Amino acid sequence: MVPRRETRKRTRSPNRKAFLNVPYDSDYEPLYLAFLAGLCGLGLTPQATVQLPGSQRRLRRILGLIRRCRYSFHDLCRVELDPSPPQTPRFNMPFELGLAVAWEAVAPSSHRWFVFEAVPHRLQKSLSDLGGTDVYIHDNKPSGVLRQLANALSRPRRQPTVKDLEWIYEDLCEFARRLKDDLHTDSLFEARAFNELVFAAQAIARRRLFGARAARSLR
Amino acid sequence: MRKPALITSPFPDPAQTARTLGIPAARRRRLEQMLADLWASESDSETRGTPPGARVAAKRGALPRRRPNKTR
Repeated sequence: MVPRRETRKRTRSPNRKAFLNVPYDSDYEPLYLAFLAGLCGLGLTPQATVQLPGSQRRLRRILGLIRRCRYSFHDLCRVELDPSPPQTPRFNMPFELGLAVAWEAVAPSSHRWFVFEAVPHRLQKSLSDLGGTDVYIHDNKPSGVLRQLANALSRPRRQPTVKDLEWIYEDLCEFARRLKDDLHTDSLFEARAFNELVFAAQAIARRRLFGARAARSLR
Repeated sequence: MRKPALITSPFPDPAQTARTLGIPAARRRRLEQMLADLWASESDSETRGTPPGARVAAKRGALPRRRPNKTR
């Protein structure tokens, strides 16, 4: 008797990961929280280089992270010189955008990238190779980030409004203030704070979009 | 303008996300308690009874739009 071959269907969980490529500085914190709130409000799970452990070579880790993400969001608003000596521009963000562009070229169905800027038309000067690319201008405002994320992404069902995203952002800002106290830290640009902000933003989004009962059912 | 990317995957379950991110169960409970405290303080504040979105509208100086009461 021929043994029946076991047919086990492998169910792959949907890839909701979104690589977030933004400046890590305290001035940027409101926009950072707006990206986290907006991406979670639209049903994605943000990922960032702050989460990466330190043992592997950094470039390899960043590449691996981008490859694991279905989407990437790159904010190229920091084009000025970093004031700490020696004064230099920051190349990390455009470099990581380049990695994402290359990855989409290799695997077009696996990745999609989005570019954000604070000032209209500036990218045409700072990175003219991206000519013809849609650039999402956020005007250096959290509301601008939320508005542009809602322009960049859509959902067939339960599409959150910009007002929904603003609500999630407000709650996340308050949560971030309490989290800093709880972790005894001034910076949210650390692995632990990032992970806990993502968890909180998703819980807040669920409460906003599906009601308090859905939030309670988390437990 | 490029068409928006269509996200068809269901909304993530934060509990699952916590496991994926390696947040221990005890820490997750602590974060959930912090969220519960946050929402409790909101409902105790001046915004008690206001419809969702009213806080943002109120901050901008606009009057919150009232929801129709279906029981009447």
